[in-house]
Order: sequence, then structure tokens, then C-alpha cells
Amino acid sequence: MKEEEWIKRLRDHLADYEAPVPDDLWERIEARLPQELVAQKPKARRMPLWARWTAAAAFVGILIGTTALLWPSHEETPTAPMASATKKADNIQNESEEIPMKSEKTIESEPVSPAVVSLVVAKMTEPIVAETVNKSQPDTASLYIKEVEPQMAEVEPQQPSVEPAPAEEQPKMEPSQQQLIRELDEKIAEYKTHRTHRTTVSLYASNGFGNLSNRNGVLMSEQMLANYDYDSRMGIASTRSGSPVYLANYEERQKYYQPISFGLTTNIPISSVLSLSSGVVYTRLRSDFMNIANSIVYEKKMTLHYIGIPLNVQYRVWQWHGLNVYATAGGQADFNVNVHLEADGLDQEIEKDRVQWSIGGALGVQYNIIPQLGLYAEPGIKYYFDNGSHIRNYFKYRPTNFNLQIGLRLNMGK
Amino acid sequence: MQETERQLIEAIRAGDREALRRLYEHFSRYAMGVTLRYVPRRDDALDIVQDSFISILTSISTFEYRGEGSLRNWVTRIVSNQAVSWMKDHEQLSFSELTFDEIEDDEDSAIEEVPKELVNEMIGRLPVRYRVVVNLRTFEELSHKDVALKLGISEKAAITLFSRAKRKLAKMINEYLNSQGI
Repeated sequence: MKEEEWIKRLRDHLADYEAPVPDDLWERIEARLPQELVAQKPKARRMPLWARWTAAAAFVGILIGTTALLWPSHEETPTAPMASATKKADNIQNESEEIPMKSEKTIESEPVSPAVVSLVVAKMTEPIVAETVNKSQPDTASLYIKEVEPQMAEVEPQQPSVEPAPAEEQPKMEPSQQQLIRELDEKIAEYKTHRTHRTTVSLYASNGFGNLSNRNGVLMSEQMLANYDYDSRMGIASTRSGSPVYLANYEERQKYYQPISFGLTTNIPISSVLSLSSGVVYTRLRSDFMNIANSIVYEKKMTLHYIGIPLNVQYRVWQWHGLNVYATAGGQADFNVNVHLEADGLDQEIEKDRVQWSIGGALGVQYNIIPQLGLYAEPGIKYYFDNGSHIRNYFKYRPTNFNLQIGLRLNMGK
Repeated sequence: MQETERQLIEAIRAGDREALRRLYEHFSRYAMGVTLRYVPRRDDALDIVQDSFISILTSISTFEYRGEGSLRNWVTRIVSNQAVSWMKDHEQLSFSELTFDEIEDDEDSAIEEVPKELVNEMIGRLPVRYRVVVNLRTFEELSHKDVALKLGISEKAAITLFSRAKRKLAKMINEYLNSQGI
């Protein structure tokens, strides 16, 4: 007997079948009802899981941000070598008052790295030491000289003593000096840039673009058509010629809501332009399914909760003042920590989804409102690999999707 | 004149506690019939029916009326879900080590010639995996794909199990018919 026909006959035969129940069953049910109904009464409104996660992440973010803002800045305290350098610089200034340097103003003290210092020392061994610097030179230049000079004193003790020139007779700088100053400025700027690329903590929300809705008729399989001997029964063997035949009065509808994610990540620089980021990301997926057979509606709502671990490489493309443009790429593993399936208002059991792997890339723009805190936006694209599970969700229906991540980034540098 | 589903629902929503009992009276024996197809032991079936009605009556506010028959379908699904859940907890409802074989679809049987009670009982006597699949596919009107999703198995496994269940049930029916000389 053909499957559909057999099903129909069996279903029709037992459609009104009833079995006796004991007389006291209602009393047993009723005895439990008041308690059940009380339990059903307005429960204290529980915050949804995703909202609780967000609140927790926000709390951690605020805590870290506050700590970062209130933590005493190390920049204000010169390191021992710097103190020593300053002292030596003062000494030198005392010894050669004629060299007009803005020494007292100094030392907003960018801790110049040894590499920069050594390079500068090499440059400074040129005749510049015998020259004076025009007071009109930019602060950065004088500041730099102030910092470097002690090194010069140590490295170049054999240099002839400086011939002091009266202030009013200060000669104009030679082009080579100007060039040198420019190079030094560039080095300092580069170093400053590097310094600003510090370890960061990001707190963000992200979502995909658009919900997906789908409405399908359901095809009769070729086997089913053959079983029914459909073509000859319908007398359309010559006209159908392999065209699909839809099951009558049967329809499937699916709606996949856009994924929503919240994340807390740390970004650790590995060079002046590259950094690695990782952390923890919560993602929520919601899908609605509706099967309609002969106007009987069967509804299911599925919500999946994932905790993901991303690993991304970030490349700084361009930076200007507090504005930073970067590109990022990497992968993520999402672990399904909870799945909730509700059929007609009642909870159902369902197996969790397998690990969901994805790769993606994004272009980001960050603007630092204050040095410690930046706002950023990352439009990006992600590809979700098929994890082979039977769970139907947004990722399976649209494995490649665009998303927008918006967040706060806390700069944690020293 | 018998109360319609719409009238029953409206009465319940209007706060008529007696309407809850009328709903029970209306569907309890039917629910018991459905349950016995999943769980043939009567005591267990009664527990399931009891839990089902508590679910039905406490979540009636979530029911959406979609025409006559929709309440009955809703009740059926709750009972069915409760029964499947019970089977998962109390019976060896495992789908591992399932081998696939060719589907033979030529069994025929005069189902209508067998008393309803007996057919219901035959379904209840099927091995647990066959029983749950034949119930979901036949009486819940789920597609093989949805049966697979509900039970966490592949669609191919759902098709194979249903085919075997159908064959076994047909054999039982034929044996009965032969014994009766039909």
C-alpha cells in the first residue's frame, strides 16, 4: 500500500478513537490545578538571557573603563633613566647656558625607545653639536634634543667644547639641520603612534542584516508519484513530463531572525600596525517554523544561544589624530550552550547544535573620544561553515552574511 | 446542542472555571486513546494524560483559536509531546546503531476491518522506536523531515524507521485478519 494512502486510512480509522479514563482523574487533575495556576500567575518579569549577558558585559566594561580612567598614568612619572637623562640635561644646560633650549618646558617625556635614541645619537654626532638651535623651532624638536642630549654627552665626550654664540647672533639653521629635525619629528611621531596602539578591551553589539522569511510548497517525491501512479491516474503523463507536483494543502513557512551578538574582546598589539584580538561572544538565534496541512497549523519557535571564541588579526590602515581605520580578519568557534524549542506554547526537548565555525573580515573605523575610550563601527562579512547538524537556523539558510558591529574600545596602555 | 470549541474557549477566557472541566470532559478519553498509542501501559498513560491536562489548562491562554478543530489539534499535540518526552525519560528511545535497508512499499492490509481498539493496541505494541515514528508521522502529520528534527535523527533514519514500522503493523493486521478468516 502506498505510504500516503496508508497513513490516511490509518489516521481516519482511529480519528475518533477514545479510551476510557478513571472517574477520579479529573479530581486528581483539579487537585493539582490551583498550584499549577498559581505557578502560572504573573511571574516576576525575568530579564531575557541575552539581556542578562549584555548587562553583565556592560558591567565588566564599565568596571574596566573606570579602572583605566582612574588608574594613575605612568606617563607622568619619568622612569629612572629618564630622570637621569633630565638631570644630565640640566647639568649640560648649566655648563653651556648659551645653548638656547627650551629645557624647562620639557619633558612631557615621551619615553623614547632605545632604538630611536641610538639612531638619533648617530645623527647627532654630526657637527650639529657645535651649533645652536633657533628658539623658534617647534617644541618637539627642542624636546627631543633635551631628551637626547645626555646621551650625546655620554656617547660623544670627545666632541670639542661648544662655542657659545650670543643669542642675538644666532645663525639660521642649515638645511641639513632642518632635515635632521624633520626626521627626528617623524621618528617621534611614529613612536607616538606606536604607543597609542595599545592593548584594548572592546565591548560590542553586533547583528546581521535582515530577517529571512521563506514559504514553500512541498513537492511530491518521484517515488511518491510513482507509488500513486500519479500520472496515469491524472491522465497527464504526456503533459507533465517531469514537472514537479506539489502536495495539496501542505505548506511550510520558516522565518529566521537576524542573529544578535554581544562580545567582550581584548586586543593585543604584536607590532606597530598588527594586533591580535580574542575574547568571548554571545550570539542569539531565533527561528520560527510553521507547517500547515489542511489548514491545521503546527508552530514551532526555536531559540539558540551560543558562546563563541573569536580570534582575529587586526591591521591598522590609517590613523589621524583620534581617528583610526583598520581591517580585521579571523575566525570564530561558537558553542551552542542552550537551545529552546517551543511547540504550540509548550517546551520541547531538542539536541544542541554542533560547534559552529565561521570566518570573516571587516573594515573598522574607530574614534577616540578621550585617549582611554574610543567608539568604533565595523561593517563586515562572515561565512558560516555547515556543521552538519540537523538544526535549521539562520547560518544554514544564509551561510554568507553581512553584519555590523558597534562598540566601545577601552585603551589599556601604560 | 454541543458546545463548540470557540464557545468553550470564550467561556474559559471569561473566567468560567466550570469550562475547564467541560474541556477535560470533551477531550480526556480522546487524549487517553492518543496516549495509549505511544505508551501502552495504562498506568503510565494515565500519568501522561494527567500531566497533559495540567499543561493544557494552565497554558490555555497561549492557545490561538484558528477555527473548529484547532483546539482538538492543540490538545493532541500537547498529549503527543508529553508522551514523547515521557518515552525519552522512561524507555530506551535510542536511535543509534540503525541500519538502513531498501524500502519495500507493497504491504497491503485492510485496516478498516480491524476494530479501532485493536489497531490502537497494535500500535502500542510496536517497538519503541517504530511506535514513536509511526505516531508522529501518521497522527501528528509531520513530514519525515520534521520527525527527524523532533527526534534528532537523520531524515533517512526517519524514513527507514517508518517503513519498518508500517511493515510490522501491516503484518500484525494481516495476522489478525487471517485469524478471523477475513
